[in-house]
Amino acid sequence: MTTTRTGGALVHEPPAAPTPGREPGTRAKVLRQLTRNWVLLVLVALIVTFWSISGSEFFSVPDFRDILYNASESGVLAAGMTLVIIGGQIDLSVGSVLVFSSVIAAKVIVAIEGTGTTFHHPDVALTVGLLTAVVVGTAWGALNGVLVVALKIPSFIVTLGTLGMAIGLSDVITSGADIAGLSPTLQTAIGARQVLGVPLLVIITAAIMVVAGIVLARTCFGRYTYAIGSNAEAARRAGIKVGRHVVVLFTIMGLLAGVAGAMDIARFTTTSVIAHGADNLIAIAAVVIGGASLFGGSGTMFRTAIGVLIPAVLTTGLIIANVQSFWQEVIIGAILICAVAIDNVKRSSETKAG
Amino acid sequence: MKQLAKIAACGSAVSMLSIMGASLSTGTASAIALHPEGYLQAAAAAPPIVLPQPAAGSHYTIAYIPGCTCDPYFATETAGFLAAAKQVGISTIVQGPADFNPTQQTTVLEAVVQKHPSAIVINPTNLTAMVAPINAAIAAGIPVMTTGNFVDTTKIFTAVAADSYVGGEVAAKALEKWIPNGGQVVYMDINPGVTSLSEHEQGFDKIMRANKKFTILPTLYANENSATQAADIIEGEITAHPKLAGVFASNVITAEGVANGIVGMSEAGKIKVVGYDASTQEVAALQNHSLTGLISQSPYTLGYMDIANSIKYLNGDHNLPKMQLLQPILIDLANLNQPNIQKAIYHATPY
Repeated sequence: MTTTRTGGALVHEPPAAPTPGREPGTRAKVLRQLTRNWVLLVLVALIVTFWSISGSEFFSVPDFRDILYNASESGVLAAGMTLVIIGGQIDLSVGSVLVFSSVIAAKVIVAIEGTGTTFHHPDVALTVGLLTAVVVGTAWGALNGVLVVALKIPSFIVTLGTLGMAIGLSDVITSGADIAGLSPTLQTAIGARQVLGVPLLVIITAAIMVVAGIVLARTCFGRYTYAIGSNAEAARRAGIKVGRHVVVLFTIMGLLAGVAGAMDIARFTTTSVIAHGADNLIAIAAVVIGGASLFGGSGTMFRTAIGVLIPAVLTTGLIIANVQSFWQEVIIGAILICAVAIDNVKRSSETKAG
Repeated sequence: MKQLAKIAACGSAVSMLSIMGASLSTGTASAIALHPEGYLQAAAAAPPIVLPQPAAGSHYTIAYIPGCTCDPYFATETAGFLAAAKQVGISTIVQGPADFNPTQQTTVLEAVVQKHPSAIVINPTNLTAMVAPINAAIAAGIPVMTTGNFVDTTKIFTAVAADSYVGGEVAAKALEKWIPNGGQVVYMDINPGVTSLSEHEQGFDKIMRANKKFTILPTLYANENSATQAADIIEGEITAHPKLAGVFASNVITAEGVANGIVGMSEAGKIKVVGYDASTQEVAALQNHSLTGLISQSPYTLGYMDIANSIKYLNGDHNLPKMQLLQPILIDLANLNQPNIQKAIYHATPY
């Protein structure tokens, strides 16, 4: 298994395909890198297309910033989902855990500083509140992991269960009405803040993806994740503590869902209980568009990042290109299927070549 | 000053009701001004809103951003919006999020801003969360008005919506008319604490409490947001209270569930039911007597008001009332076939 650095980004080569025989020539190498990262080419092609259709409207600097800003929460969820999926698991509960974390955080913030027009301890309230979101999310993630490992229930079922529990409990706590009126400091200090023209939330997301990408590509932890996702039994025989590793994967996912929950209230200064029902599918779609296999063992963080950006660019681009709203869903869905189909064809041809 | 601003229930999507969590700040509430034109025209529902012509030599492009593309309420408002725009010959952009949620709607709003329309009409998906993106659009030089739902900012040039408090009153008055001897009535809601819904309830309560012939039973909650659950609940209620005379169901889901339950209990026509909103399914229930009346928020008319107000503002009238509330319309079998009432039904296919 090797890891190469391409264009400043970490790219992980699937462990199963060390090419036997003589080294391919430089041109073949470049070609291989390009086809391996064909999703990047799709992204570039989309941007160029929208640019030429709409003239200056698309991809002005503020537009680019908006796209990244709007994709920041799904980026955080997709980072965690990449780890979980490469490890051969799935987590459907991320959107519900995000909501639950944001609800508890909002409750904590309101309890400390009250609501209305005067806010007494914004700094303390916000710090404690947002940390609470992360802690609560981590707890849900750990619960998912423990249930999957201890009870040997497939993660699809466990997280389907916690999906319902987390959103149901959020409704119990809020009576179905959002907790609004949080201190505007949340927005000014975090949610809407820009550092050197880049939204803070985008910087946080990028940092999380880079760290998670390095962990995945450069550490034993990452290598074990690929190994477990490829063949859990083989990993166990090789001495990897599979159960513990899976619990950690889900815990990281929960932590990141908590971070996304904190980002959500920082951005909107209100909880949005009903708004995150499709977050799990958005995150899974990003990972899959990025070329990861739902059966585990393959995928990279860099390609997940592109998988997050493709739907985001499409949404904005199609609106600017005046495509009727209903068609946007159709097109994004079709791209998802094409992504998997092309990867399948590519893999089987690589296997044959090998 | 009324403590609560009028937060209209918007459309039939129950989901959107549950996010209208808080009351408007007093800043916006103090701006309530009834729009006499709107009231008169909705009550009579006869001539459509008078559309002003764009100022000579100007060309306007007005954008409409619904709460989602998932709901016949918005499809109907879109139809009214497009028909009005065509009538005065102005360009339009219609783009909406697939789901009723502020994250998706923000993306759509930001992309629409990049297209530099002359004005934006938006049905905000959240009272608080849409404040920053809407203010950003206004800061980018594009005037914005809201329709249907509200947003907690004073920077918009106007807000139009159906009056949900009056909607509750209209429902109560209809039950008074249809149940001349009085009796037990009950209100069915989705969740406690959802502002727009409790406004229906407040209006309903006020009229019913003033009439000594009626007893109001404790409010029912179909909190799973499903018609099946609403049907189960109403069947239990009828068993527990055999003398139940009237029901007011707060939205499309509860109304359709109650209609279904009433048919199941063979009580169609005996128990009088008023349902909020006017989906084609609810109209079918009206025709088979399982619903007695519907309250339409007239999204088609709201679409006309969107265009009329945008043109007025772009023509230089910067003193529009901050809030213009439209009186909801009662639909029953007697008036169902009138052309103006047909326009108040939420037809699903405007395009």
